[in-house]
Order: sequence, then C-alpha cells, then structure tokens
Amino acid sequence: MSWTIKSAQEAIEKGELTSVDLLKDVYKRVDAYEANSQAYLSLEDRDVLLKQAATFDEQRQKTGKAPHGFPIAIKDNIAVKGLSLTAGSKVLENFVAPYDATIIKRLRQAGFLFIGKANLDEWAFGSSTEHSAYHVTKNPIDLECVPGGSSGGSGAVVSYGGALAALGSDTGGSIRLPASYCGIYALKPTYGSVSRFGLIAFGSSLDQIGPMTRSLDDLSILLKELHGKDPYDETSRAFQFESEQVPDEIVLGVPNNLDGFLDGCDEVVLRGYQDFLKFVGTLPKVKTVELDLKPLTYALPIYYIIAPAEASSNLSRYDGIRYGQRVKDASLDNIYRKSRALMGDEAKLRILVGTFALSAGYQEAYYGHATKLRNQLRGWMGNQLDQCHAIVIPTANTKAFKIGEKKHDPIAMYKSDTYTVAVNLTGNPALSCPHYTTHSHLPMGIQFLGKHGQDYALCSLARVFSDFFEVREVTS
Amino acid sequence: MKTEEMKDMLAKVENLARMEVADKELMAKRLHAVLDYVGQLKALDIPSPELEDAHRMTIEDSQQEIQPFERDEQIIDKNYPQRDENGVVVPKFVKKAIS
Repeated sequence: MSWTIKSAQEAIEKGELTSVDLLKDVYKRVDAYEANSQAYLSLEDRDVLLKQAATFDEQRQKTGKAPHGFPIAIKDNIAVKGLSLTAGSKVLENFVAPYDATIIKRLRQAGFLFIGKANLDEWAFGSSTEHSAYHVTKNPIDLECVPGGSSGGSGAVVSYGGALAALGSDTGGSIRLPASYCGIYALKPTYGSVSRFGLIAFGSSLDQIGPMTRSLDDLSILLKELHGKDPYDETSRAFQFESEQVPDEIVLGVPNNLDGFLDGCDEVVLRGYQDFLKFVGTLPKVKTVELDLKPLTYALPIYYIIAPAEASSNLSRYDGIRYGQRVKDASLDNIYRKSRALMGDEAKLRILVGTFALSAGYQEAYYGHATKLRNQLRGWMGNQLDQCHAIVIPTANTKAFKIGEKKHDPIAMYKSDTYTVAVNLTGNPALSCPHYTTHSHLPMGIQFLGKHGQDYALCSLARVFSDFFEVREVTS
Repeated sequence: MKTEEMKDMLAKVENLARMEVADKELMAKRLHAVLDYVGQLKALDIPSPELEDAHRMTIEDSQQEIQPFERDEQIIDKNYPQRDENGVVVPKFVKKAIS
C-alpha cells in the first residue's frame, strides 16, 4: 500500500508506524517498480536516510515529539546540498549542489527526507520526459506511455508510491501534465508565493515550484511548508491567502462552447470532462456559469515566444566556463560553442527560438507583441475569475501518449500544454485532480484555475468534488 | 521558406546563440516550424471586449506623458573623474547625490 503524508502522519502519531518502517515501506515500492519506470536519476544513500529516520524514532520515544521523516522526491532541477543537480542535461553531469534551495531548507527543518532526485526533460523543456539526456521515464500505469513532463520523474514516483510526494517545477504545466498522465494531484502555486532560490531557472517570470501528491490534504500540508517570502528571491512575497472556507454556493466557470474549446481533445478527455459536468449537475449548491474561454488557447503561441526568450537568456550561463562540462579547445569561442553543443536537440531548438525572438529586427514583432498579449490575457483572466470561484477545464487534451509518438514533432508536443500555459503567463494558481473514465485504464486530469492567492481555497473547493477523483494503486 | 533560406537563418541564430547544431537541415526545419506556429500571434485577433479593454489600458499607460528629467547641475562634478591616492576613482557626484 502507498502511504500519503496524512495517513503516515496519523499512523505515526497513533504509534502504529515508525519513521523507519515508513521509509522501508517506500523502499519496497522503489525496489518493485523503479527498474521498470526509471523515475529517479539518483537516489540518496539508503543507510543515511534510515539512520536519520531512526534518530527521529528515538527522539519521539524519548520526548514524545519528533519530525515524522516523510520521504519525498525532488525534481533534479532543485538544489539539495550534497546531491546531484543535473537538470536532466549532460552539461551538468556530475554536478553536485553546493547549497540547499530555500524550500529544501524549509522542508529539511520540518524533518522531510529527500529520497532522491527525479528525472525530467532537459532543463525542464518538454512534456514527456523523453528529452532527458539520461533516460526516458515510463508511466508506471502503462509502461509503453510517457509520464508527461517535464516533471515526469516526480509524477511517476508519486504514482507508484516510490515517495509520499514530490516537488516539481511548473513553467508551462510541468507538474500538472505529469499529474494528469500519472493519475495524481498537483498544484501550481500563485507566482511569487514559493521561493525559486535554488531552482535552475528556465523562464524566470513563469517558473514556480509546486507539490505533487496522492491526496488533496497532502497538497495543503506541503504548501504550508513551501509558501513564504524569501530574501534570496526578490519575486517572492508573503501572500494573504484566501480563506479555505468553501462558499455556500459554488460557481464554476466552464467553456460556453465545448466543441470549439475542446477541439483536439481525445475521446477519454472529452468523455471525462463531460462526465465531470454531469457530476457537478447532481450536486446541490453548485452551479456553473458559461464563459468564452477561447482566449485561453491563445496562450500557447504567446508562451512559446516568452518562455524560449527567457530560457535563451537564462541558459547563456552554461557556456563551459562557469558551470558543468567544458569541452577543451584553444579558442574561447569554440569552448562556448562546443560546450553548449552538449545540450540535446529540444534544448537547442528552444534556445534558438528564444535567440531569434530577441534578435534585432524581430524583437518587437515577436517578444514585444507576445508581452502585450500576455498583459491582455492577465486582464482577461481576472475578469473571468470575477464571475466564478474557479474555472474548470481539462488539464491536458489527451491521456498519456505512447513513448516516441510525439518526440520528433515539436508542435504536436507543445500542444500538450494547450490548457496549462495560460496560468503561467498570468501567475494564477491551478490544481490538477485525477479521474479515470470507464473507457481507458489511463487517467486524465480535471484542472481548477483560481485567482491569485487562492492556492488553499482551490484545494478546499476540489474536496467538494472528491468523489469524482481517484488515485489508483500501481500493482503490476 | 526554401531549405537554403532556412539554413541561412539557422546559421545566423546559431552564431548569436554561440551554439553548434549537428543536423542543420533537421534543426532548420524544426526552427522554421516553431516560428511559423508562434508567428500566428502577430495576427492574433482577440475578440473579447475584456481583452480589448485591457489592451487599451496598456496602450494608454504607455502613452502617458513622460516628465522630462530635470538635470541637477549641483550633483555633477565637472572635474570627474578624480582619483584617490591609490588611483581609485572617487565618485564625488554619487556622494553628493546621496547626501
């Protein structure tokens, strides 16, 4: 059985479980499923963690109070002191993080154990984890399918129970998409509510670290540890989060034109979303308001200008001089070129797109225009969310697809992010909840988009519909 | 765009990005496909009145009259730069501005 943070917490507090036994249970799952799924890039030394868990148990026995020692996985673009930090790239092969990211420091103080670093698309560029420079992670629910991306390792680990929860980073849907494909929960927090210090930057105005879990309660538990202003991240701030109290009457914003809005969705997603609307119709005190959500789909081309532009700037530091691998050459210029050539094709493509969009003569037409549209989208999103408590749409337009199906077609791959990128551009929080239709063994995600600061409120709201959501145990 | 034009464009961007690409033809095609896709935003029609209002606001904001910067001769040292005994530039105007 896979533990959740809450169930493990209750069992430990009742004296029915020790931190060591919890960790051993998690290792049993790792031993059973990791070889097939290949979700981790590296694992912390087991003896070190078992010793730490034993210390917590001893402390609990003596004083009645000690950290629980919840084992969690961390995406390998977040710095954990002493562990590898590759960002899925050959450029940072063998690089060891010299310090803890702020959120890691907070979780360490709260007694969380970092079981390992989870696989990802190189620099978090991708929607399938096929672009990792190390190996392809497989979806534990169906090993022929991708786990989503870029936090696919984190999604797979939580799905098969190889950690109680995981942290991922979400620049355009990178935690919600794997949550949707792997049948778990994930929340992209409001931009600025979680420190990015210690996260390898992709798109600085878009990136946000968020939790991936097996329950809604676990999301709230982790969020409370993650949230907060950090002096090391000037974009972070202390938020006044909206009340977790569920309103007497819930109003959900839904698309007014299902056919137009859901174009390109596969059968499972269409049916699952329609089933959700039917389910909502059976609940008293929940009503829907139809909104013209077409502009949400405009976000994709805007995103694929702004994100590569920021990425090309952020990744200019990986030049072979300051970080990671250096290819030897007599000429400095060749050192740059050859060291940067170690990056994979998708990383190169995005850097080239970003460089083009920022180059003289094209900047205003591409980046400048995308920035204006982004502002418009932000205003539009605020207006839509004034009419409801949350907008509810599918997380992804398809269920998990087969490995290799989209790898060589960048546009098809980018379209996986159609419903996720808008909130990264606008900074709003978004929650993905898992659902299984009767038509497929693969899950889909239902996504709740909320106003800035509604991170906890979204979790409370989703609990109203919890009968519709399901996390299944991986058994084979 | 013809293959040769695509390759030319790739070569220019490769140079700007200080990065080498092995399969130039394939990368040129992909780059062109992505730019073609994102290029739709140049003609993106946003029918929503809310979006138009938001856009109007940003234009109005950007058109607000910019106050001319008043040059304060007091804080500019005509003899700048002066150096101390160690040859380090003494930024006198900065000190005056702060005080």
